[in-house]
Amino acid sequence: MIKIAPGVVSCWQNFSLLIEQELFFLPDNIYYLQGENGSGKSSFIKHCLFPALERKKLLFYQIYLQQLFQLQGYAIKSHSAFYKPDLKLKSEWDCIQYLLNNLSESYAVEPRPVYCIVDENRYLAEIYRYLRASGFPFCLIFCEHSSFSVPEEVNLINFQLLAPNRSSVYETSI
Amino acid sequence: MIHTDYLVADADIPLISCDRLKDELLIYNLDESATAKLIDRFEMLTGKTIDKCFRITELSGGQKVILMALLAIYSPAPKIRFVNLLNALDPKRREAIQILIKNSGKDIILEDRL
Repeated sequence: MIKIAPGVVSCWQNFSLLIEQELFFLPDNIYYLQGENGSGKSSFIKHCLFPALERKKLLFYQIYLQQLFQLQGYAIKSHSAFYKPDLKLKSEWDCIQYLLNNLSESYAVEPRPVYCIVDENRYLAEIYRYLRASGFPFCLIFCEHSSFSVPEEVNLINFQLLAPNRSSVYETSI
Repeated sequence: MIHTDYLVADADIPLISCDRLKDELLIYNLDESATAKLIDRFEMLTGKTIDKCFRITELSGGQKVILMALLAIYSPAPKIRFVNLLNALDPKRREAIQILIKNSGKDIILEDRL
């Protein structure tokens, strides 16, 4: 389980998040980070979730797909060029599948729950289906502005801009 | 002069430079008047005050896309092809950008690519 303590988190020189309550991120759960552009969703991932996951990195697998995927895509293509040169990754989905398949291989050797963080990616539905079909115990945490629906209950983490340099973060359920 | 080509603005790679706004203004060839309009409109849409020396790397992913859309709209380009523009925007900004596109008087294509 990942736990984020309440309080003020200074993310950048002129942007902070007010976490109003203790937040829990549990395997077998889905979390939707919802808020306007610039309300601090990606900052929350980088400054709150990553440090908390890092502290428990031996207990879980992590997979992170960053917003504006282009640069990460190049990094993944470079990795595959070294380790699996026959694959010749081309599209964004090729790169994502490469990560997911790598995760499956690791899971087969040593099963651990998976934390999957998707920061605005058009393949979110495909990623969800892959994780669901794989049978991993997983926690999916995502940001998205277009429609994405799943049959199970989704935990909603709200980001509300209080000022251009400050947002509050609190949880509700759908 | 007949413009046959479209300025392509791809929301997957919203900004070309990676330092100050003035670099991006140069790439899009915005004059002083267009720059003033862009800065005003950006503040209206995001609540964020920027100037020519603002570091664009400090913007969120969505704000970068908003800035890209404004740069293209206020640029002299008469034809623009936006790629995957609207998916990156929250509903309020999506509507505001669609209105700007409609009122721009330019030949604008919205394209979704996988």
